[in-house]
Amino acid sequence: MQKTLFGLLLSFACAFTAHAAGGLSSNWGEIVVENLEIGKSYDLNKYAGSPFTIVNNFESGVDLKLKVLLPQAQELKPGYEPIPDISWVKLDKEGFKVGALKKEVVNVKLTIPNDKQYSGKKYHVWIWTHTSGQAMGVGLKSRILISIR
Amino acid sequence: MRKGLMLVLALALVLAPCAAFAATSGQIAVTVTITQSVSVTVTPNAYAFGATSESATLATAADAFTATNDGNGKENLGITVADSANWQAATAAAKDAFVMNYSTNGTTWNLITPVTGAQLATNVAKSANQKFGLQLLVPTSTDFGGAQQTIGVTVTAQAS
Repeated sequence: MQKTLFGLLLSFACAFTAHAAGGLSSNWGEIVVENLEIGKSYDLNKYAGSPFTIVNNFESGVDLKLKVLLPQAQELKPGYEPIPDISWVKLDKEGFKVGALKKEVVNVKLTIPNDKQYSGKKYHVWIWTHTSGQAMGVGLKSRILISIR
Repeated sequence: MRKGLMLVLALALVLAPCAAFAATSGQIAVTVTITQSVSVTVTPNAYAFGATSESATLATAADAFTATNDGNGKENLGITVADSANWQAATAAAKDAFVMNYSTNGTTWNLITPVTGAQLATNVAKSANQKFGLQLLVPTSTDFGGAQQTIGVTVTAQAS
C-alpha cells in the first residue's frame, strides 16, 4: 500500500483526447541579409520581399509567443558570431492569437549601432516562435544571418 | 537631354521586377535571401498520465508522439519543458520539482534540461518524422496534492 496516494491528477491536459494533429510553419526558416551598414535601421520584411509569416496549422486557434534569442555555441552557423545584443532586433508583436489555419505577419526591424567595431562582421540571431498554453506545444526557430559591410 | 531621361525610365522599368530581394540603402544594395522555410507538426498534442503518487516514475510508450518535418529542407528538432503552476522542472526529482526525460527508443531516457532543453533529432529529412516518448519523475513530495498539474513540452524545429 502506498504511503501516500493523494489523488494527484498529473497530466499534460485534462484528458488523453484525440486532438487533431497540428503545427506551425514559417517562410523564414533561414534568411541571409547582406551588405548592411552601421548606423542604419532596416525593415527586414520590406527588404526580404516575403514578410516574416507564421502559419497556424492547428484546427483551432493558438496563442503564440515570439522571442529573439542568442544562439548557443553549438548552434552557430559556421562563419558567424552571436549577435552582440538581441536588442538590435525588434518585433512589432511578441504575443498574439492566431485562428485555426490562419497566418500572421510579424514585422522585424534590425538596427545596427553606429560603431565601426561592427564593420565587416557576420552575426547570427534566432527568432523563436512557439505555442503557449498547450500541453504538447510546437515551436519554430528562424535563423537570421546578417553581414555588415 | 530628353533621350537620356527616357533611357533612365526604361531601365527602371526593366529592373523593377528584380527589386524584391535587393533594396538599396544609400549607394549599397542590401540583399536578402530566404534559403529555407521551416514547419513542424506534433501529434497528439496532449497526454494524460492520470492520478499518481509521490516519487513515481511514469512513462508513455516510446512512440507515443510523432514530430513531422513539414518544411522544405532538413530540420533539427529540439525539445524543451516548462514548469507547471506549482512544480518546477529540474534535473533531479525533489519537493515540488519534477524531471522530464525523452526517449526515441524506449530504452535510453535522456534528460530534457530545464531552460535549455535537449536535442530530439538532427537532420530530419523533409516529410520524415521522429517518434518519441516521455518519462516523468514525479516530485518526491508536494504541497499541492490533489491539484492537477499541466506541464508544457514544446518541440521546436529549425533548419539544419
